[in-house]
Amino acid sequence: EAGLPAAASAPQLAQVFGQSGGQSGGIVDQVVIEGNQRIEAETVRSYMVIQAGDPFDAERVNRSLKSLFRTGLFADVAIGRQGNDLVVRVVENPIINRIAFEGNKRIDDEELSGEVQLRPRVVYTRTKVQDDVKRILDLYRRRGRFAVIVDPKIIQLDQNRVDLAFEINEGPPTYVRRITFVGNQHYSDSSLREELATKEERWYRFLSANDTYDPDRLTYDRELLRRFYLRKGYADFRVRSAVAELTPDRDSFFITIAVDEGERYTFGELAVEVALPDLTAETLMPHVVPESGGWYNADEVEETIQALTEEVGNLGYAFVDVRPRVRRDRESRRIDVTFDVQEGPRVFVERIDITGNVRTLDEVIRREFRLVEGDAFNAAKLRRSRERIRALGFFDKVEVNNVPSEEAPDRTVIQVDVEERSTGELSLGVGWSTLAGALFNIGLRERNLLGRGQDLKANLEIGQYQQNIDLGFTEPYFLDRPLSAGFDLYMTETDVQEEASHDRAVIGGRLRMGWQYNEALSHAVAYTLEQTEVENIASDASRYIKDQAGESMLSQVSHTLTYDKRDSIVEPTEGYLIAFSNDFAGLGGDEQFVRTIVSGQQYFPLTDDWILALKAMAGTINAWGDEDTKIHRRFTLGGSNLRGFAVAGASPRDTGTNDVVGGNWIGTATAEVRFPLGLPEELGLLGKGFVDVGAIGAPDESSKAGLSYATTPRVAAGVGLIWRSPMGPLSMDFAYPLVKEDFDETEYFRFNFGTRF
Amino acid sequence: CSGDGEEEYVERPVEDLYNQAMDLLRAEEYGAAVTAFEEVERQHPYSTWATKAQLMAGFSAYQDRAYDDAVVSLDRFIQLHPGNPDIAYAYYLKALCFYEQISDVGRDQKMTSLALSSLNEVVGRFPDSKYARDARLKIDLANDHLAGKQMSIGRWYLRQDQYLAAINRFITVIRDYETTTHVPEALYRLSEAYTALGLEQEALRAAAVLGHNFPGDPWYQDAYRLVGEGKLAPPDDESWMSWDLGLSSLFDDD
Amino acid sequence: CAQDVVPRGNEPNPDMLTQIKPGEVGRREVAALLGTPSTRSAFGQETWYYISSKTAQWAFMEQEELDRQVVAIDFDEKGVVSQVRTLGLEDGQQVGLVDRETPTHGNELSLIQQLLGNVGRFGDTSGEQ
Repeated sequence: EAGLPAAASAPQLAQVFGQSGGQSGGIVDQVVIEGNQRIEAETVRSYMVIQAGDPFDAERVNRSLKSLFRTGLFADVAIGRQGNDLVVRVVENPIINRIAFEGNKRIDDEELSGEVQLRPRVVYTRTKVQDDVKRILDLYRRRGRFAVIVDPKIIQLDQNRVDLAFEINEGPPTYVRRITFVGNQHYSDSSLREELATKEERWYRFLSANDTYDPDRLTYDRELLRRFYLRKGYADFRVRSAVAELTPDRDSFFITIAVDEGERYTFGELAVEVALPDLTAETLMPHVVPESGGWYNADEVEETIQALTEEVGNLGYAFVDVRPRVRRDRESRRIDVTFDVQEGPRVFVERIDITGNVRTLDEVIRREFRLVEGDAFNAAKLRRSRERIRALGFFDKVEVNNVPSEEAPDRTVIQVDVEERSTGELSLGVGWSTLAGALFNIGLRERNLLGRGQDLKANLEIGQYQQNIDLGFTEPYFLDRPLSAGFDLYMTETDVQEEASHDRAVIGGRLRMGWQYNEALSHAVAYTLEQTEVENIASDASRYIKDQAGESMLSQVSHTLTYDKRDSIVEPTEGYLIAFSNDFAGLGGDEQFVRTIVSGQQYFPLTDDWILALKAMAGTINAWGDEDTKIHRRFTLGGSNLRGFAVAGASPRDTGTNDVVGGNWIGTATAEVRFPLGLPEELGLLGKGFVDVGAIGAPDESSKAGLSYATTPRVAAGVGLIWRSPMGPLSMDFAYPLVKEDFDETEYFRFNFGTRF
Repeated sequence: CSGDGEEEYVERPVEDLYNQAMDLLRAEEYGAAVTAFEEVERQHPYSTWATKAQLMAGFSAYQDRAYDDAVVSLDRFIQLHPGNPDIAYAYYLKALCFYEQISDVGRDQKMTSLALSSLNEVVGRFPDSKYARDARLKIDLANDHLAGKQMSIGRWYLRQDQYLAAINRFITVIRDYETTTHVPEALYRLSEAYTALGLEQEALRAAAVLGHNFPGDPWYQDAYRLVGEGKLAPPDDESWMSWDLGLSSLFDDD
Repeated sequence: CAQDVVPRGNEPNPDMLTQIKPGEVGRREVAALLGTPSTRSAFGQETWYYISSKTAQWAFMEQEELDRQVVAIDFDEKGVVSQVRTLGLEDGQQVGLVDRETPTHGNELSLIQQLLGNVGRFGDTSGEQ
């Protein structure tokens, strides 16, 4: 049993015989390995450079020594000569039996062992332990804890094994107590703090780690500040220093950022110079985003570069390179910018390689590319392709860049590396809404079915007044063309006893197709086949309702044209949308009508945070057969489309029974301002003020006897609250009807939680 | 340090541990076998059993399709016992771990390239071991698979009428994968693309090379029909493929 | 709304093209004048091709080739240009593509596997599609 190995000390100098190479010479008879326990002699020899039969050579012995140490298997190696034998004495590094962590509260053992390289049954070396200590410290630093001490302890066991214990003293968390700015005249400390990623410590920031001190984040903050000032026209802006001092009690930091704002510049002369054959500057000038005289803004310069590159690319010039020439005039504080449009290098795409798509099919990514192998390389198209791949929503990371090809100087290889995210969603929701009452929904959706880019979703919703189950499938590139096609199947039971004292059961399906004419204009067509059953009609219901009892089949063709120029679909702050749709029912089925709906929205950013939204909608439905339109096809006014009134509260109704019969045309408009309540952004609380206006036409019943209706407009105004809570979106509206008819039913408070509203 | 509780730390003679692990392996309890073999090595790192146990742990993980764990223990075995008599098997088993994760041609081929490099290592280090023969076979299959990926991209470009991109992909198959089963189709697709561009000479030459090297191949019949009967030697009649020609032209409508 | 015309492939500069005279010019000059060819002949006598086209695509219609130019430069065995051929869209032919494919293996992702996230064995005949 070899004696207990000394703790692995620094490798002793090898006693290589006769450094001066005195008695060198002679042939190595055999290489004797001593002191090895676990590692076979054969293994040691295989790592050595000098073997039996070679001449004794100090230099090769030295190299063998180094290579044995590099394996990390040995604490100590000594090579000596005994007669004609080369004797290699090794002391093996011990094997780790078990690893334990003590004193770690913030980070659990499992995460720590994931970070640490050493494992049970692996060879123990001092350098590996030091590396692991550093890794643990880095892990804590990323969590904002800098006062951590990690002390590795070794416990010797028999058979040259050791247990390794990391004793961790986490020390207090190092939060950021205060961020102060020096030298900022034009912007207040609080508005500059909004721009930083590092935040001051607040109780409601328990979820995020942004309020802990992280030096990398502070350097990133310097960049954020620079971009902010460049956007606001301060071309000379400089961060002089960003210093973090530990408070005396060592548990948090004071951060002081000294800035030189410099002067604010305006755009001076803006020009485009074109060095491409038969292309004039005038044709490109409209694409220059900034106006001369306006405040200088670095982002607008970048936007112009991209717009010019894209435009010249579209005009058929394969190779374009746009460079801004900036001339700064300090006295007049004006910046002249000339955009040089030259021919870029003639480089062609040799190959597009796609990697990382473990689940997604290659063609689902490749078909989003604006470039084809063999095309002229164009940076704007590459950027456009990256955006389109990202827009698929299947990937956490999309890297698209190009590297020079080895085969020819004028060719480049485009490398696309993606990191997939799980696109399957199982959503469970609980909610309450004025329309459906208390409700529970379960939804299953796979947006990248079998990696083919297809979208399959199934939804079940059970509520007090409405139960609904639906299934939807969409293929975005039907017949290998940019044509999205799909179908929906649905079954819905709605209880409208309160409004119109009957229940409605609908079962149906829809085939749909959609395509784009250009970035903004899209078109969709659909065929719907739906059977509706009007049942459980209250005995005292209006006779108009009773006439409609029983089943009716709808066979309808419809199309919708949408022109969408909003800046974002999820939270638009600028731009507008116009949609126009026609539904033609009567290709078979029991219902014959034509319905036309036009709707529009426009968004105005009053300030960075105050957004004004104007929305309007008009619709008309006309039966063309011999029967009146079915009641459930008609328009109703009140509820979500006219706040301050109950659901269908302002619609034509049977005077006697108060049952709603709906109207054959409708017009609504709303103006809504959304604004922050001065509370910090993380809370996601927004206030809103709105005015709703609506008018609805007469019912279709020719006799109109016993019906009360009014085509005069109704008006309501109110305020509300929107909260993007962690459990789901919540919205509250308090509205007061200003202009109404006496038979209208009003409702002052609406509440919506957990449902898409 | 006291034992960390949940897994009781019972010192047992190495033979019992090893045999228990082997029984688990035979009973196809692969997951349990992996931990049992690891226990052998942990408690008796210096016994000869420990070395064998390391390899068997890798094998059990492989059977359990825990490919990543298998590769980790096999790598450790390779580093610690390069001279061990079973070293060739360790390299071969590691190659299999990658080989069996190869995904279809439409997806990322990282596993195929990992498999190829470790299979080449097996053939390179142990050319006359009994594993080299199977490794060579799997190398051909893996290359065939990479050729399949080139073909699927080429066909996609062809369907989009992007003839230039398609031609280059098919030429890559012919140039870099000339021993694979995809060459006949690559030649035929070339003649399709050249014909679409109006380059009749080139289409004819591609079909001729196809006919010369693969006279009986169904792809040659397609090429023969595409490029025009007169200009090429008819497909190889006496080959067993000929009855198919009769059959297929029966149903040909055009 | 105007269709965007998208240039595809490598269209050689016309006045450079006129300088490629058979018998006078060799490979190096052609490469200097026109750059690397889009594709080269795979066998037989060496030929360089510069293939380009103008395409447009509208709504859900398939991509339409408005115009195509195929420049083929043949070289003799000494590497001197022997002939320059230019073909246009009209020389092209409609080709019905055969939809048969040479089979390949590999773990086709089944629905269950996508949901459970594990993938079967390649080469294991039992697990094949």
